Formats: sequence, C-alpha cells, structure tokens
Amino acid sequence: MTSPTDLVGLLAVLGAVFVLLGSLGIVKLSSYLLRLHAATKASTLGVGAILLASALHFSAREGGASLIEVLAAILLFATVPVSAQMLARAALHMHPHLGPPPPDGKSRQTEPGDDGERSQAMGTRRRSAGSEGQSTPYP
Amino acid sequence: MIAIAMFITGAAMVLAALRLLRGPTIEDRVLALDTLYVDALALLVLMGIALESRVYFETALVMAVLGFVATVAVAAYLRRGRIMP
Repeated sequence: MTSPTDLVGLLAVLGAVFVLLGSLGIVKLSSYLLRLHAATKASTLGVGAILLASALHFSAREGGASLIEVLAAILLFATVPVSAQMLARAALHMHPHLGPPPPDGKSRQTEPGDDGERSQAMGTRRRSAGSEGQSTPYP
Repeated sequence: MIAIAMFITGAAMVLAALRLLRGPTIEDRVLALDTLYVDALALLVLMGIALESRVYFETALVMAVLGFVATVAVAAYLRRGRIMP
C-alpha cells in the first residue's frame, strides 16, 4: 500500500537519480555532442519527475489540483530542446569536424547552418544539371 | 526521501561544476552552466517540498526563463558573433 507521501519521495529520488546521470554523462563522455545528448535527455526526464512529485505533494496537501508545476513542466520541455539545438549549431559552427562528413567525401567548406545547406543543395543541383561527365554526385 | 534526493541533486551540481571548471572549449562551459541551472531548479523545487512552501517555486519559474534566454543568447553569440539578427 503506497500513500501519497511514499510516492512523492520515490518520484523525487528517481528524478534526482536521472539528474545525476545527466551530470555524470557531462563529466564522463568523450565528445561534445555526446555530452549534449546526455545532459539534455537525462536532465529533462529528471526535472519532469521532480516536478510531478511536487505537483502530487501540494495537490495532496491542499486538496485540489496544483497546476503551476504543469506550467513549469511545459515551459521546461519547450525550452530545453531549443537551447540544446542552438548549442549544437554553435558547436558545429566553431568546430566543423564534429559533424558527419559530407557524402561526396570532400572536406566541409561551408558553414553547416541554413545558408551552408542551401548553397550546398544548389551546388548539387547545378552539378547534376550540367551533365559534364559525372552526372551523379552520390555514387 | 526528500533529503536523499536533495543530496543526489547536489552531487549532480558538483559534477556539472567540475565540467564547468575543466571544459576544454567554451561550448562545454556553456553546456555545464545550462545543466547547472536546470539542476538548481530541481533543487529549489525539492526545497519547496521539504519546507512546505510555494515561494521557492516561483523563483524556480523565473530561473527557468532567465536561464533559457541566457543560453540562447550565448549560443547565438558564439555562432554569429552578434546576438540580435
């Protein structure tokens, strides 16, 4: 038989363990993108569990649902992936060798942002429309 | 149980601070700061449960918004050299 207090404690410890796993991944993993992955996923799940524990605790204490935790959870789940993607794009801009190599085997010369991808796609289209010998850029 | 969870979250903050001090590149430090504010938010929510108070929760909400804005601003500065488009 589990009372709400036991459930709150269990959820809080579970969330704290996931937060610890995210920070452990930041310290132990080898590449920057691996660290970003570990921190974002684990911290989001851990804070989600802790916020659920808080919502359960205050709902049981005051009778009636407490909804400000849901607001914080929505805010956090919407903002953490955005900041992680901005950090990943900044890292790929400063260290282009972190990303995967382009499919034709040449070294990456353009910026891996929206402008770079667009110019790369336009170059591919122009090369395939030119039909000078090699018409297929992807063998 | 709440005290155990607070200890575990504190250990996670120590690990993130280790990466903040040691990180070889500046993106590592920004990522460590990002994790550090998310961990501090979790610690504040746990403290609110332990002290039976709702005051700390609004602090956590403000901290979430300010941390997101700070991380996005630093990431945009690192990528483009300026913050506003």
